[in-house]
Amino acid sequence: MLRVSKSAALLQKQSPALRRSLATVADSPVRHYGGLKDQDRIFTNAYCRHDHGLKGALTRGDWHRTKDILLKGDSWIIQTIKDSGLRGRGGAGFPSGLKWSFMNKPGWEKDKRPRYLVVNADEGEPGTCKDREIIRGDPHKLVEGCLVAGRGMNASAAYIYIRGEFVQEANHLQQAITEAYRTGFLGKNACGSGYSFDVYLHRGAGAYICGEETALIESLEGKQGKPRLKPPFPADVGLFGCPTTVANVETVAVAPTICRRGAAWFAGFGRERNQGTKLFCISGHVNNPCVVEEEMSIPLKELIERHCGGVRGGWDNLLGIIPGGSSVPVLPIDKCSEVLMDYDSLKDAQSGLGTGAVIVMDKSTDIVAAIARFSSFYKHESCGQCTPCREGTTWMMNMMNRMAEGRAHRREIDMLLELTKQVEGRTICALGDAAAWPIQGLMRHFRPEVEARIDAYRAANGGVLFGGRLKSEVDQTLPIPDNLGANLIEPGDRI
Amino acid sequence: MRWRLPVASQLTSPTQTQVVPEKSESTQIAEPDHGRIFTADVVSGAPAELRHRAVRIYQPTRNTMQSGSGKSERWRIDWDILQGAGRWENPLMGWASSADYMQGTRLSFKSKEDAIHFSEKQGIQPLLPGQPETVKRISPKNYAENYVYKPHKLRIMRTK
Amino acid sequence: MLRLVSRPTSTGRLGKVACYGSSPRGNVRFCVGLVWLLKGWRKIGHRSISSTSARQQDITLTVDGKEVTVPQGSALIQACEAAGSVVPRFCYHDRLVRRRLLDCFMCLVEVERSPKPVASCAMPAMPGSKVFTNTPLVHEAREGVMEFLLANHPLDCPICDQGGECDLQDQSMRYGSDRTRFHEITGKRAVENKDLGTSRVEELGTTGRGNDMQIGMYVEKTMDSELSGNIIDLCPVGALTSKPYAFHARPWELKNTESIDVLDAVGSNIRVDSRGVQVMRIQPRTNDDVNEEWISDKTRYAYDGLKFQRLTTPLIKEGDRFVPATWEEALQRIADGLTASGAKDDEIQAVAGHLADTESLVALKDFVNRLGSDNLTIDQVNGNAPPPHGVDVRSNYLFNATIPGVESADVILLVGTNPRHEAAVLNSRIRKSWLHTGLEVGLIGEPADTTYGYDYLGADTKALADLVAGKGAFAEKFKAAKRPLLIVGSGLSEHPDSAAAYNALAKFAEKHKNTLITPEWNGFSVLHRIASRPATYDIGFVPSKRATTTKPKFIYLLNADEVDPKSIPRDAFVVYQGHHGDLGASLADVCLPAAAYTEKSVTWVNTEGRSQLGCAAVPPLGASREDWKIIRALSEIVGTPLPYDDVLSLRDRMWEISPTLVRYDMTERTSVDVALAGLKTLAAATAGAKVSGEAFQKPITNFYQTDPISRASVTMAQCTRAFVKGDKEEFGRGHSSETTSYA
Repeated sequence: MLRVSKSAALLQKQSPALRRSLATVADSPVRHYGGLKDQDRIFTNAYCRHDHGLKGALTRGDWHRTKDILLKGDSWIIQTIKDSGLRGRGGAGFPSGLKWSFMNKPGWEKDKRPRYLVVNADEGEPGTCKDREIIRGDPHKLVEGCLVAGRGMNASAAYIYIRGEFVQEANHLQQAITEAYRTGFLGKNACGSGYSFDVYLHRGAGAYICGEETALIESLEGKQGKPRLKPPFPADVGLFGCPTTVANVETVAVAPTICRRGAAWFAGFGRERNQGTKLFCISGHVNNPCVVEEEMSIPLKELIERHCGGVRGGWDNLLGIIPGGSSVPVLPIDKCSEVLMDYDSLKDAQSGLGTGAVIVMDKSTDIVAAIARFSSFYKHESCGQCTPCREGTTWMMNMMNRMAEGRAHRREIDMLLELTKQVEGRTICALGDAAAWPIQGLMRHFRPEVEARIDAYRAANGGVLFGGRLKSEVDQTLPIPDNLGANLIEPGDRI
Repeated sequence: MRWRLPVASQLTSPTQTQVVPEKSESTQIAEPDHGRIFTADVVSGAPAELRHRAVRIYQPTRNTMQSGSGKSERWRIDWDILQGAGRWENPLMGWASSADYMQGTRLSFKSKEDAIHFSEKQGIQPLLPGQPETVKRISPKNYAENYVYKPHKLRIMRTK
Repeated sequence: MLRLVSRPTSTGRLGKVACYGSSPRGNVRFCVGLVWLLKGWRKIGHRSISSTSARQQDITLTVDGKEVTVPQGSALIQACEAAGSVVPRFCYHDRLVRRRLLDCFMCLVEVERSPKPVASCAMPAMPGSKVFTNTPLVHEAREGVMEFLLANHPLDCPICDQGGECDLQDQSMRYGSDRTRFHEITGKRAVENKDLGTSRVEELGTTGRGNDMQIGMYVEKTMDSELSGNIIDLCPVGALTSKPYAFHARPWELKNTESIDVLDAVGSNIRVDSRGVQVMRIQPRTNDDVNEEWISDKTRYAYDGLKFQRLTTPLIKEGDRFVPATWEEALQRIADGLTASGAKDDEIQAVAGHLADTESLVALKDFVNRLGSDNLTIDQVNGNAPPPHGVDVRSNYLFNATIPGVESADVILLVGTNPRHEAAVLNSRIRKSWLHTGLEVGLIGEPADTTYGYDYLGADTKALADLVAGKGAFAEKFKAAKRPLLIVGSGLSEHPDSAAAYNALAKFAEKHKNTLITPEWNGFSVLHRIASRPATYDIGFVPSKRATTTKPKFIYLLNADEVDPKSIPRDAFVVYQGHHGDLGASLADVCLPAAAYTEKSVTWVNTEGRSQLGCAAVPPLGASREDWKIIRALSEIVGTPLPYDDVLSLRDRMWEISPTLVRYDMTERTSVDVALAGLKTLAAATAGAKVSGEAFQKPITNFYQTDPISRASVTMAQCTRAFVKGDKEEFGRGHSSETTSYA
């Protein structure tokens, strides 16, 4: 058991040291973020209150002088995106301009292979529902974005991989694509610019893992959605072996507006390195759950108070918030009061912006059971390719299910944490990490809650062995191996 | 494994080197003569027919059931089985019995030279590997190879 | 004198022997050595083509402080291996494509400036990078992976077939934790046993997802492939095991004998694992020049045929039944029979069967020659006539391109052959090349499922003639090829049109001689399917013209089990020497029991002309004896004793006949001049042959039963029922497949 305590000590050592990243250092004199004005909203039909078709889209400014944007050329588009400071909205937050520029390596013209833009509309992260709103209400923004982004990376076609469950969304998007083809916005000589571009819609079959970049490519190729290792990077060997860039719906859909209104306009929102506007999906115990476009770096508390009518039963009734979808660690109330909703601030708070899916939990929540539910989700969605994830997610789920009940040994908490460390960073894709982080977050902030539950169960049912067997169920006449923790004395035990 | 017939020089070498140094009267301890082969055969008491048994010197190959290449660096001497009644199955228990006292004998050496030296010393004429092992022809393994663009018709349907 | 040249110098340097001259085989076989001396020590031990092809650039990196240089594009694990650092792995295999069903993540190593440990089997080696395989981080990571792997592992090592040769056991000893932390009350995962049968690459797969995933065939069916047994070797653990071997023996009880397979003419290197007097299993042995590390299912599973239908004692036919006899009686009976039959000269016929070894063929030929006969017949259709390709020039009947050379060919034309059944291991090389390069294949002959695509050009000599005339798209492809390969099936020489076909092929080869026959490459290759055949031709075991028409009175069948009973005259005295009571034995007046290939240390020459020395693993059954010794004993009784008393002097005799027979493990390339001269002779000898227009047939209709051993094998019989006759239902009931899965 030496190892456990050692690693626990390591964990503790790391946790209080808040690493200040560049953005925090560069905090300018107080500027308040948030309160995006209506004229600055990009997704003006996110709630689908207006016509989602071409007619409505045109009235909202889509396809306005797209030809001029295309004619400015690939380097202009990419430079604009770079200047705008747009970071990938799918969760990882990689600078988009930089990513797109990988497609245009020196000498790319000599490469005879086709080139693809793949749009990741396989939105499956629990708590996230922003892409769905975009596709449902503003499908033309996405289609136009495909064209603009595709032009930027000199792609010959775009594949939109849409989640299979999104039936209405797929219908709207297909309608938008058909309309765009019919009006000549797509196809040969798109928008009259002389550039040929195709957009294909592909419906997924319902696996969370297919939202991962390379697994999505595999799935598009008709194989099982199992992630690939990198290298080779998709920009070099991607879909069907051709240069490919996979981008999130929101990233692609904001591109035309950025090009139209200018990089400086977009960069004017949010803190340095976290610029722009973003769709936040707030769900859970708030009075008015909603998807709202807001400025980046808006304080989390303000986001909830301003758009969602506050936490159910008042801010003080808050237990914790998961700020970026199921894959990021939970934040307790004190952190929630001070963090800003952007990549760097949340990273400093040992969480992450993820997809911007804010899950609010008030004091009525069984936080352990909630995280255990996440573990079940990841167990179910693990593709099974890498050993640590395949075996680890199941193991973690089993342990979390027991901890939700309290049927565990106190020392198993440290063991569970060590397991998460054994999974984290040992897998091809980030699903292993995503399965590990919520548990780490739980133990970081709510360990006393877990311990209390274990103690309560122990008080009610007697000792619990490692693995969840009750001491009372074990035949005492048999020698029980010492490593099952049967004879360990715990605080609160009567000796 | 590469085999060669026994070497002419080896056929004669034991007899050439059977000369025992005659300086035994000298009080000085004789320097061991590393260049010559002391014939253990003369004093070992091993039956003479042992010399006519077919013996191989070889380097065992890796067990294909496993990835490790352990035990394949050493050189082995083993005796070909005896034709005729070298082995039989015990009718009572089904155990294998043998009249061949060499059938379980297997000697390992660090190098081929050691093995040859030993067998020359014992007056055995082994079959020797005649040529250095072929190089392993393993092409570089490139992970990206699985995904690269193929301009010609697709020849394998990858489903995983 | 000649022999001394090739023997090593007194210093015992053995490497030099590898150098030898090109070996033209003139009409006067015994002058071979002389011609070869005159030609001088010109060309050198044959290296395969692939190793001489343009090398990729090399890169240098540091592994555990050791600098190592590897070809560009190598995986990191290969660089580590080159540096001598052992990296544990399960899912990576040197000879397989990297993409597998799953990733084990056991091969994690630390690379400088990489935040996470790196899976070394997928990461390309980068120049200048610093790699560490032995750091605390690496050990911790591997221990973690090992813990996950063992979490659902049952504790059945003591009864598992893989126990004792299991990568999981070895690696858990080295990297695993000494105690488990997995005590979950939910228990461990298990799947039901599966029958996989005897793979094509895309056949195995996974269904389901995550921890509930199962490995198996996509549909409940059995695998239909000639190489499926190799997945047992590939599986690092005991999940896929051999069904005939299941629960029969443990690896540490077995005696390994490194030997040569004889069930086809590839000469696959095998390891015979025996316990006591029984062969328990047959495993492949690595030899990159021949079989890499694969063997066909017949090679792997037919060994149980060695237990059934064996001849264990000499038999003499009395009336219509065989009576056991002693060796003296049997041999005396033959001597009497020879006299009584009144056979003289060519009326004494010797028939060389499929499984006859080189030593006994030489002895038999010498024996029959000494009796004044030249009637040396081969056990095949038209075997009593000299083969159309002759036996004077070696390159006319050997697989000159060599087996590894197949991979460097860019266009392959198959004539009258289905390599999938005639040389399954070689076929896998063609398939490999076809998948990974732009290889084009054409086929003339009976259409077959070769596991790769081909252009079908026709079935008979007419298609061949069209090709020679340059008609059709494939002729263009062949013309444009840099390394064309012409694979001629062994069945072609049994065909009524064989002379015409060989004539066309010789012309075709002549036409493409600039690419087909060069100093580096000889693409005119005959693919044999019978283990003894190349040696038979090498020693000149063919009848003279006169003997062809002579009606035999005394017939000596040496392992000959394919003879047409009608071809044996009623009054002839027939001797059968072999190890199985198959067809040949039933025709005989006297049966002499001989040793099977696992029971004798003899020479085999494979289709490339590579002679290899087998090794006896178990003693011959009962009273059976080594083949050449039987013939030697008989020669003494008949009164014309052969001049060799032990195997060494017999091999000296083989040396005199052809030095290549005892220059083991090498292939010798025929020089361009001789090869072209050979083709010219071939064309001249077959000119004006009549054409019947009959379609070429596949010589093998049932891959699983081609010789007495596989015909006696229960496993092969079940394979025949399942795959050849298509009786899948019976197969699915689960007692007849070779491979079973305990995933």
